[in-house]
Amino acid sequence: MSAPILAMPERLDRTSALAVHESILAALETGEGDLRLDFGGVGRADAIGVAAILEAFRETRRRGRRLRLLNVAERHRRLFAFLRVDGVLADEPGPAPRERLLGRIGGWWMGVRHSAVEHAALHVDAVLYTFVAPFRGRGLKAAHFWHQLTGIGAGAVGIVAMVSFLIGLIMALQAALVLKDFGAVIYVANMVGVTMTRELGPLLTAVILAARTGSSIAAELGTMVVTEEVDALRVMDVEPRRFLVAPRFAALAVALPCLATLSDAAGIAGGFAVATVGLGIGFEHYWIQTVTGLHVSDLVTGLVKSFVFANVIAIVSCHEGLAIRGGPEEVGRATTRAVVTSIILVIVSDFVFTTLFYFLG
Amino acid sequence: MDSDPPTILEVRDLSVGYGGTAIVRGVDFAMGEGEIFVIMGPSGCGKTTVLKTILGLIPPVRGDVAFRGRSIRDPEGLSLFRRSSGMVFQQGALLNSASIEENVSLPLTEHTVFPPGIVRETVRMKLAQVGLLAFAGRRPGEISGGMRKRAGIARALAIEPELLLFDEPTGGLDPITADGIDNLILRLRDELGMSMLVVTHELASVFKIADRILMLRDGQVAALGDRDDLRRSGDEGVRGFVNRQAGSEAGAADGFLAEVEGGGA
Ligand SMILES: Nc1ncnc2c1ncn2[C@@H]1O[C@H](COP(=O)(O)OP(=O)(O)OP(=O)(O)O)[C@@H](O)[C@H]1O
Ligand SMILES: [Mg+2]
Repeated sequence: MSAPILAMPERLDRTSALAVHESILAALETGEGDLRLDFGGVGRADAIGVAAILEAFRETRRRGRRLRLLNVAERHRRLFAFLRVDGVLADEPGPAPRERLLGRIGGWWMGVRHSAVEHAALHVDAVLYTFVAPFRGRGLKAAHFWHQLTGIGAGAVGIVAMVSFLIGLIMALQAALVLKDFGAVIYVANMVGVTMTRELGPLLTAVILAARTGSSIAAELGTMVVTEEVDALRVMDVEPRRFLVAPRFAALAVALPCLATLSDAAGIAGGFAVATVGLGIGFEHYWIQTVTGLHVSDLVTGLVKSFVFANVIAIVSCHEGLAIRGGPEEVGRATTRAVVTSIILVIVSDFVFTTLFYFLG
Repeated sequence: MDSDPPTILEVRDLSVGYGGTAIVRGVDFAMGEGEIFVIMGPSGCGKTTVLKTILGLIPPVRGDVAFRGRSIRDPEGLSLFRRSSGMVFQQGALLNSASIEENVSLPLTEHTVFPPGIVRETVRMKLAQVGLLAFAGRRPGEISGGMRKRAGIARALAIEPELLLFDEPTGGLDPITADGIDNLILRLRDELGMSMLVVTHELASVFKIADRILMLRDGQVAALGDRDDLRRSGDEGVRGFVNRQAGSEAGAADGFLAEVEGGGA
């Protein structure tokens, strides 16, 4: 059965556009083959009415079918030309869906590769401007670094301490629930101590900073791109990677390990609170158990991880911000992408590290 | 001018596009030292694109730009060019997180080792030149659009550039302030010998300041010469654009206002 011929209304304008749109969709649902629209009865038409027809074109094409216009009057052709849609309304079939899918996968892969290369280049520059160039007097400025460090580091002390303390509490309670059946409640101290320093301290801090600092970096740099501030810097021969990226990168690389250490301490304090108040373990006992249970390697592992996480967050967020093309609405999207990508990459690299350290001992 | 001054900026057969579509095609000109060179043309014809390409912000599809004979494709040539020139962006492009004074001193603190006192005095002079001394401590968000543009001029002037590039320096300014900017441009040339590349479509400015004019249309050179050359141009479009004097623009504005008032009554 072929689709029926749809007669277009006398007024093809904003009063009828919705009805026309819906009748075309309905016809597409029921029939098959070419869909035909009869323009014979159309008198008045406007841009919104024509938009409904354009939308119908898109819909039919998406379903691999064709749309034909019958009996189009000369003055309606002139209207199409005036609205500059005469080219579109010359019917031609779209590409087959299969090709499109393959094309999309190819495009996606090229995008991933391109973006990986760009991230790597940005990372190299950030490292050079932070660690190498200052010795030649061309690196990041101390004042910019301190400014970022106070914003990123000092500003996050409260939230990191509070969240970590609560996590320490929760972990101790959960551990006690299991351990008390074995009469091994004192091992709560080992559990909290090792998990916080090796794993949760760095990870929690990284997630908090990805949300707090990553988003603000991406939004700030993105806005600077949109308002041409970044172009203005380039034109003054002030390299944005040195002027904007390096101070943020360095500040994160310093702040995250420090905050992670704070997080370790706060988490252990949380565990201690549960142990003394809820489980009746004395301060000294808990402390000795924690200290003997912890090794220097646990601390080092945590610090190395948090340094890596800082690199990930700084590079991803700066890249998202600086890569913006277009207007202000892109800033919001880049901010979201910065946070989501940072958190995913932090967790993936955490997994890689934990596996590595596990097998290396 | 009797003998031709040495060339400061040369643009050869420049073509630029954004992601595949060509916006500017085959733009070709050379600027002499101490010259005020104006690029004009209808909105969207590619003037800003040309400026940004000259400054190396957009890679050209074809062609080259040379500052004092050195191509900007060579990173050192580009760096030299950027340190010897200043750019005034269409919207000012000031750093929003810094005060006006800090913005203007940025090129000096980044590229020179002057003691803070010298930097401060230089910056105050530049701010006074554009009438913004009283606003030195404000942030860009706390002054008007026209003031931001003037602050952008002060910043571009900070390192005493040999070449200044302006993107519509008087666009959006009242006639008195705009005239002040035009006078500033003329005096910079006369007293400091600066060369200037000015993008504008304010005809009053063009006729007041231009030594030579390049007219751009749809990304291509429609005419190149002094004002009389353009007035006598064989191209009707060019003549039409140039001969549309300030008076007729005012008339159009009056008509628009009358229409608005009539509609409201
Ligand atoms: N970032 C961009 N991406 C894609 N196209 C752009 C971009 N910037 C400008 N264009 C396009 O390039 C063309 C020229 O723009 P340009 O800003 O150079 O014009 P202009 O001559 O400076 O105009 P105006 O006088 O209005 O400032 C326009 O058609 C514009 O749509
Ligand atoms: Mg422009």
